[in-house]
Amino acid sequence: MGDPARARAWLADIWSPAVMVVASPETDAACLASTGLTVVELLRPFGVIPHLNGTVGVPIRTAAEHPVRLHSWRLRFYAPQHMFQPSPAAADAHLRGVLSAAAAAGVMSPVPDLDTLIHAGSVSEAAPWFEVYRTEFFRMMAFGEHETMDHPVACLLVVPSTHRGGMGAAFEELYARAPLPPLMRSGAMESSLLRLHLVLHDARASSAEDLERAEMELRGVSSQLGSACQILTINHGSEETPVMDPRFWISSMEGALGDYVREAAVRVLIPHLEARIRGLNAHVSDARRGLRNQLNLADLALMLGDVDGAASTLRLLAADLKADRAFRHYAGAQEALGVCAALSGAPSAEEDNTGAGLLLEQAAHSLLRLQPPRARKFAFHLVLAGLRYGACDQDGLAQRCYRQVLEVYRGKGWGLVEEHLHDVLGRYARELGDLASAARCHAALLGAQRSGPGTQRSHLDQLYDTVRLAAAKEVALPPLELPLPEMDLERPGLVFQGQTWYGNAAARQAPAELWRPLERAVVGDVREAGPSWLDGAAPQRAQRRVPVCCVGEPVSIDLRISNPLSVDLEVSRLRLVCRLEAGAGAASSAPGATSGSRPTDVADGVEVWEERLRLRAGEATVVCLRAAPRRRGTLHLDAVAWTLDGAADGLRPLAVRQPLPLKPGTGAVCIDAARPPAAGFRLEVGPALPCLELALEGLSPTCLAGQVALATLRLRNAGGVPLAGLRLAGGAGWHLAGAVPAPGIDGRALSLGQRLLVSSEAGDWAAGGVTEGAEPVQAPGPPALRGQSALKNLAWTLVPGTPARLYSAPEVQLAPGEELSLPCVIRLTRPGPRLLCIAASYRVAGGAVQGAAQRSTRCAFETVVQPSLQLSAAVAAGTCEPGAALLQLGVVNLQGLEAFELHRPRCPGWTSSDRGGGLEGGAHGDAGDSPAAPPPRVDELAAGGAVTRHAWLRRRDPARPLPADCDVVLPWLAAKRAGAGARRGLSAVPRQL
Amino acid sequence: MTSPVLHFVIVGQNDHPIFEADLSSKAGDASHREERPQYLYHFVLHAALDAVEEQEWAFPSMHLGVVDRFNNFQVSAYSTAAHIRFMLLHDGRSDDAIKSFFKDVHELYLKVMMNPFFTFSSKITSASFHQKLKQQARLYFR
Repeated sequence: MGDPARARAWLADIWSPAVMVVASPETDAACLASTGLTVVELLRPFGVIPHLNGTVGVPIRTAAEHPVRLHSWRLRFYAPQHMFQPSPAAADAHLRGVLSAAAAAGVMSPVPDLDTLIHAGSVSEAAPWFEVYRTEFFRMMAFGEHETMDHPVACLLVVPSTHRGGMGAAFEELYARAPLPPLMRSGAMESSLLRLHLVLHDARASSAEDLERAEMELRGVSSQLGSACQILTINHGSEETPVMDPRFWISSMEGALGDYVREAAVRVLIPHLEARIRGLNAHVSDARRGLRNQLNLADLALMLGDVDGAASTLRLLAADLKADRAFRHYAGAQEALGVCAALSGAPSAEEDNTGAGLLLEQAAHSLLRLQPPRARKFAFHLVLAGLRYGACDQDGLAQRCYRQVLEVYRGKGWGLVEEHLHDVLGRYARELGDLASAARCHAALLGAQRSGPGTQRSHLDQLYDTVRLAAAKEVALPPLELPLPEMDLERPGLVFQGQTWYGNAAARQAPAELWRPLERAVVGDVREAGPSWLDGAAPQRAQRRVPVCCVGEPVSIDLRISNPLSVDLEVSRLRLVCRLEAGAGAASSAPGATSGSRPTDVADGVEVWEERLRLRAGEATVVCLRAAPRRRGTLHLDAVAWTLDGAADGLRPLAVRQPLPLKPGTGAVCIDAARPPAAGFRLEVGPALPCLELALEGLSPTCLAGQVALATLRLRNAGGVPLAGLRLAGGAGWHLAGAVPAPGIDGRALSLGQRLLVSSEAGDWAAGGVTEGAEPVQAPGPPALRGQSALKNLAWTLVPGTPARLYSAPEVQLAPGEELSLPCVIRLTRPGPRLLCIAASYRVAGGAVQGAAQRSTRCAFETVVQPSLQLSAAVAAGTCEPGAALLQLGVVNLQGLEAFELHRPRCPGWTSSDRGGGLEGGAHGDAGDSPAAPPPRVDELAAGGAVTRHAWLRRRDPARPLPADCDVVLPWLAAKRAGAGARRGLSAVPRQL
Repeated sequence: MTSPVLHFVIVGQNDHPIFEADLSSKAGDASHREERPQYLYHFVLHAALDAVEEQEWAFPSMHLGVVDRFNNFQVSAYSTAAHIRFMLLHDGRSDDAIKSFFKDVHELYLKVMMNPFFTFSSKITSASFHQKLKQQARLYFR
C-alpha cells in the first residue's frame, strides 16, 4: 500500500453504496440462458461510474453545507441471498487456506537483498500474499452487524418483459417474496429501502410485442411506482458482434446497461442519499439519539465523499459508543474514523496473529519507502511480523521474515540478535524439512561463545542431530561452514619446496643475508641473470611471480587452530581441499619420494594427508596440513575441510589477503587499485626435481672456540630423479676435508682461520696426530682423512667477499635414494650461538628440463661456541743469533670449568723449541730438527688460569727470506671433562713475526 | 516482581556495538536473565538507531532524550561529536538523571579514547570502565 493515493482510491472503493438486486427467478433464468450471467453479475461491472455528468461532476449538498463535488462513483450490486457474514470460524479457516496457498508459491524463493527492497516499486512486490489475503479478508468481513457501510441504500427489483399480468403487482410480489438478508430480517438493517423498478427485455429471447406490451403496462403503473421505473433492453446487438474487441468494455459503458446505471445513480440514488443524510442529520442533531442512525449517517456521508462530515459524526458517535461500552461498535466507528483520516490524507495506526503479522510486514516494508529508508526499524518490524506469523502457524512466512532480516544484522557485531535469528531459523527450517538450511543455521549458532558449557553442548547436539536426520533421510548435506574449531585462515604459513629446498627448520629461520652470498656462489649467474635497465620494460616483469613447487613433493600450510568452547572437540579428517589444473607438461609424473605418513586420499592428481586431533576446552595448537601434486599444472589450495566429532563435515575457504595488482608494463604496484578478494594459495607445479638432503654428523651442540672437530656431511638424493652438477658452499668454520684448492688460489690472501681450516694441520691435530708446520695451502688434506673421501676431483675455491668456500664436484651423480658421505673439518672461533650454513646446488642428471633445471638446498646447523683460550704473542727483543727469535706467549684460560693441556706452539716456516717457564740464557735446544728430540712439553692450564710461555723459533731454511707475516698456533687439548671425548683445538694469533 | 530494565550500549561506526552492559542492579542473577531474553533488548536498541539518526538532526544538544519506545521500554540516546552513540534502554527513568548519567559516561569514554592503543572502532574491554559505569548507574538510577 505504498502509494497513499492508491490506498485512498482503494478505501473509497470499499466505502461505496450497496444496492440489493432482487430479480424474479424467471428473469435470472432467462438472463443466465442468454448471457451466462445472473442479473447481479450482469450489472456489477457497470457499477463503476468513472465520469459522473461528464467532467463537471455532481455537486453534493451535504448536511454542513460543505461544497463537495462527486466526480466518479461506484455502486456495489448484491443479490439478497449473498448479503450475510460467514461465521468467524469458517471465515478464519477460509482465510488461512487462502494465505497458505498464496504464500506457498513465494516463500521458498530467495530473499531479495536490502538494496533491491529499498528500490522496489511497491510494498506488494515484497509480500504479494498480502493483497490476496486482504481482498478475501474484506469479502469475509462484509455485512458485519456493527457496521452500516454494507447496508443497501436501495433495492432494485427486476421483472422480465414477458411477464403477464399487472406489473405493479408483480413488483410488489417480488419484493414481498424476496429472501431478505438475515440482518434485515432481524431489523438491524433498514428494511424500508428506496425501490428501483426495472423491466428487463431480452431482445433475442422475446418478441417486440412483449416489449410494447411491457412499455404500456409500465406507463400505467409509473404514477403508482414513481419515476424509478424503467425498461432495459439487453441482447439487442447481432450475434456476430466481435466480443474480442479490446475497447469492448468502454463501448459497453456507453450502451444501454451503463446508461441505465448512471442515470439511476445521478437522478435517483444521489438525491435519495442526500435527502436521507439531511433527514438523519436533523434526527441526530435534534435528539442525538439512535446510534445506528449516526453510524448510518457517517457511512452515507463517506459514500458521497463528505469526509469531514462523516468524521465529525463519527467522533461524536465514538464518544457515545465508548460511554455505552459497546466496544464492537466502538471499534467499527474507530475503523471508520481511520478510513476518514486516510481519505483526508493523514497517516494511520494495529490485532489477531495473522492480521498482526501481515500488517507488521506491510509496516516494515513501508518503513523502507521512507526517505531515508529506515532499514533497522524495518528489520525489527519484520522480526515482530515473523513472531506473529510463527504464532499463527504460518511457518513459511515466518521463516521468510527472519531470513530477510538476517542480512541487516549479519556482521554488525550484534551477537545476541544473530544468535536468536539463527536459532529460530534453524528450528523453522527443520520443521519445514529443509535440513540443509537447518544445519547451516545450527552451525552458525556454534560461533556463540558467550553461552555456558551446557548451551554449547546443546548447540552441538542440535547440529549433530540434524546431520544424522539428514543422513537417515538420505539428504546430501553440503559441507557446512562450521565456525568450530577456530582457525586462522587469513594468515596460514605456506611451506613449499620450490627451487630452493630447505633441508631443516633452522635453514628457514636463518636470515637471508647469511644465504645470499652462499646462494650466489653455488647457483652462479643463472638466477642473477634478470632483465637489466637495458632490456627496457620486459613484459614478463609485469606479472607477479607465482611460487613454484615440484611434482611429488608435498606443499604444506601451518594452520593455527583453537577450541574456543568450554567443551572438548574431536577433529578428524582435517585436510586441505585442493585442485590441480592441468598445465603444460601435465604428462610427466614422478614416484612418491617423501617420507612420513602415507597419504590417505589421492584424488585428481593430488595426494592429501589427513590429520586427526583432539582439542581440549580452550586449547590452541598448530597443525601442518600437507598435499602433494602428482603431475604438473597449477595447484590451488582452496579450503580446509574436517569432520567435527565424527558427525558434521566442515569446510572453510582459505582467506589469504591477496597482493595488489601490478601496473601493466612497469611491474610497479597499483596502490590505488581495489584489492582482489581474499582467496587461497596458488602454486605452479614444476617438473620433478632431485632434492638433496644434507646432514652433518659429528657437530656437537656446544663446542669450544678454536676446537677442531671432524664431522661427516651426508648427502642423500631424496627426490625422484637423479642428480648431477653438485656444488656446495659453506660458511666460515667448515671445510670439506678431501678438497683440493682450485688452481690460482693465493694462500696468502686467506685469513688465518681459513688457512688453518684448509691446512692439513687442523685435520691431523683433530685426528690425534701432530705434524710440524707443513705449508698449508698446498697440502692435499690430512692423511688420516685422505682415504675416506669418495670424491676424486673435489676442488674448492673462494667465495669473494666472504669467508666461505665453494666446492664443486662436477662428476658426482646421485641416483634417487643414493647417499654420499664427505668428511669435513669444523673449527669455529667466535664465541656465542652460531649457525653453520651450507648451501648446495645441483641439476637434473642427463636431461635439460626447462625452467627449474637447477635447484638449491639450504641447511643450517646450530651450535653454541664457548670461549676457550685467549692468546697473545710477542717476539722478545734481542735475539742472540741470526734467524732465530724468542717467542713470548701469553695464554689465559677463559673457560670457567675446564683445564687445558697446552702443547708446543708452532709457527709455519719456523721450528720451535721449548724454553720452559722463564728465560734460560743459552740453554736453548733445537728440538725440532733433531730426531731424538724430547717429547713436546705439555703444560696444564687450570680453569680460569693464566700462563706465559717462551719458545725459541728458528728459521727452517736460512736461505729463505723472512715471510712478511707468520702465524703462531697453539695446539691444546681439553680432555678433563668426564664422559666426553678429547676435545682438541688450535688457538692462533696471526702475523706476529 | 520483575527486575528493572537498564541496558546500556555504546554504538560505534557502522552500527557496531563497541560496549554493552546490563546496569540493572540485579544483573548477574541468572534467574532474572532467563526471565526476559536479552536479545529483545538488543533488537529494540538496534531498531532505535534509525530514530537516533532522525533525532540527531532535530536536536542541537548531544543528549537526544527518549528517541524510541517499544511496549513499555524506552530508549534514550546521546550522540557524541564523533557520532558515537550512547543508548540506554529503560522502563521510564527520569530524563534528568539519564542526561547526567550520559554526561558522566561521555567523560569516562573520553578517558578510554585517550589511551593511545585504543582505536576508534575497537571494542571497549577495560574493566575499570565497566566498574565506573556501574558506579554511575548506581548513583543515578537507585
